[in-house]
Amino acid sequence: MTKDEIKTRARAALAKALKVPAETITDNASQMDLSDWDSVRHMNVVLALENDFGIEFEDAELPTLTSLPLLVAAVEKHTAGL
Amino acid sequence: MMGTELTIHFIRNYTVEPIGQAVQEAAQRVALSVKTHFGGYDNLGAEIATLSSSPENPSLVIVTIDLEYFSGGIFSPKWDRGQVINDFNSVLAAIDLIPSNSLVLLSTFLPAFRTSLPWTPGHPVLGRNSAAFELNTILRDFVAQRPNRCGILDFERIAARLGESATLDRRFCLMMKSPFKQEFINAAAEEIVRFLKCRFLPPKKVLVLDCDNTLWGGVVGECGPENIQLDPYEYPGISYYRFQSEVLAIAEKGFLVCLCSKNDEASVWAVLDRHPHCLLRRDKIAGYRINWANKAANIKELALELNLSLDSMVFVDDDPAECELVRSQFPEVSVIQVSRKIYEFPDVLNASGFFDRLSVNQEDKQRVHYYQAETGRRELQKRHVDAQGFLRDLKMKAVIRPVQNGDIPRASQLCQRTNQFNLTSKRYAESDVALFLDDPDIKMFLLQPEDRFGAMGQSGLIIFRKTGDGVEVDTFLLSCRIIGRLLDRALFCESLRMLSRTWQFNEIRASFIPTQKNDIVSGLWQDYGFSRISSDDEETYACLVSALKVSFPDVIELAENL
Repeated sequence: MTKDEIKTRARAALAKALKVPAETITDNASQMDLSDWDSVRHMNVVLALENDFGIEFEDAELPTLTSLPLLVAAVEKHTAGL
Repeated sequence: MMGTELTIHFIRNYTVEPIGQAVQEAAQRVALSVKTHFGGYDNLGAEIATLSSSPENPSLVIVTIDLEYFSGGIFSPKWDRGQVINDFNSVLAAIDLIPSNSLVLLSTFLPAFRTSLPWTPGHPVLGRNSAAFELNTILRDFVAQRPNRCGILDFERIAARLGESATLDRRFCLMMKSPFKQEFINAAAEEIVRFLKCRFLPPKKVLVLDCDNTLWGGVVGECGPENIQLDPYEYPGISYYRFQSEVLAIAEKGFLVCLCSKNDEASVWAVLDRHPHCLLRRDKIAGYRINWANKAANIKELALELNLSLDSMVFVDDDPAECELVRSQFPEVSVIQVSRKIYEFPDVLNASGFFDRLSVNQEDKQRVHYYQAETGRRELQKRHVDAQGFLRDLKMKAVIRPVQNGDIPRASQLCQRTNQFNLTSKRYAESDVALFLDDPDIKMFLLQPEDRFGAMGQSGLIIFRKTGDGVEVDTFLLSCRIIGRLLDRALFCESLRMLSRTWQFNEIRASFIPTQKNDIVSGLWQDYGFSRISSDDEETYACLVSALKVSFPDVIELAENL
């Protein structure tokens, strides 16, 4: 899976979890600029990405997944070698 | 109530926001608009107290407590079973302070899925594991004593249905105090919306049933009554038998059961009157069309006969073509096509949610007999050319008396259910009616008529409000089965006479709020002698008592009791 593919799917999953249109999520979107992305929705975001990519993040990672680039990097790490 | 935004306030000690989100989405699917508020995580008693002193009462308060975090936390060394029960009782006591026009749902506690000594229920070490059982008993008793106000949100049953893996999210439970998986959250949200639908959406009233391959297996006209499948000791007979038992339970709740079948009448009655395993007997049937005509037309006729609207009807049939015909001709009729998996039959009615009721009263159980008596009245009417002669021949009597405590459920039910003869369509809950009873500026009267064909039940209600030196008619309604018999005039005149014994007034004000269904009373106030004083959506009228053009009908005899 290329980084671009991961980014597209992660963006879609993020949009679905936050219930906003995918176009509103920029390449660098983060918790800082998406008001819907609060701590409760963060659970939805985590679950959405885990389900979509068939992976499970580590506990320590969860609080650090605060932007689209960080999500993409974490997914890349977990899917490497799959 | 339709169109207004409902508010739900969660009193909780864990992250319940995901349930709130799911409720909003589930409510939207049934065209209910819901706004959610969440209290703080601790000090539930104080949260409830704040709620009870706030001016805006939520439509629904949901009290949901996770035992793991309750009363100092179940894993604390200081955890004490007696203290937990005391704390829970204080929460319950606070609930009684919530304003009575908010409904309350309480979630049950989840028992431990795993315990260290599962075979020793009395062991003191297990106090933590078995506390949920004891608290649930207290909770159920509390709700049972407040049937029209409180309900159970049965997490225990939902968890039993879905299983541990679809219920508990250990990760987010520990990280975020968010203990439930999405599947459980969705199921809980569905139950909450079912409760809201029951209170805030117009209810279904009639269950229209096909016969062959719905009430029994096989085609009775071909195989004969003795060979249909309805034997509770055989499959698939047992499925149809249990389906009928569900139908009976629904009839007990006050729904009218009708038959709509392509058959010869004699074959169908042979089953209902004489089949040893048939549970649904003729005396439970409020109306029927057993013929070879188009079922959509038959359903329309049944609606006219019962004087109920098509959107209050649910039609059940096994034939996809019949279902499609009814759906396409009358989209307002709810259609349930029973599945080809016959073992699923018994659950289909319950699962539809169409037959939910918050509570059931004596009138509900009698309802079918009121409608059956209508057949006799229609026969009599055919014999009379003039309306007055018919009304006189009915030998009507009516009891008209102030609403009392015991009438609260029925009075509220009349407000909720009555659509046609209803001048203002105000949908008062039982809690509203209870408040009115204590209000010295409000008086309510009930009408209970009978005629030679039988009792017609508590079927009319009028509510007056005192306004300065005048009186306002806040609510005036008659159940549709007694329209056209001058009983409205009897109720209006007699209640006004009783009112004048306690209140001094010269002028009466009244209004007509048009809906899609109450056109039948659009001219009522003019008929009674009122003049219109405004032309907004809500038409208001006024009339001096001395100028009223309505008198107590001489074809009705006033009675003390029946």
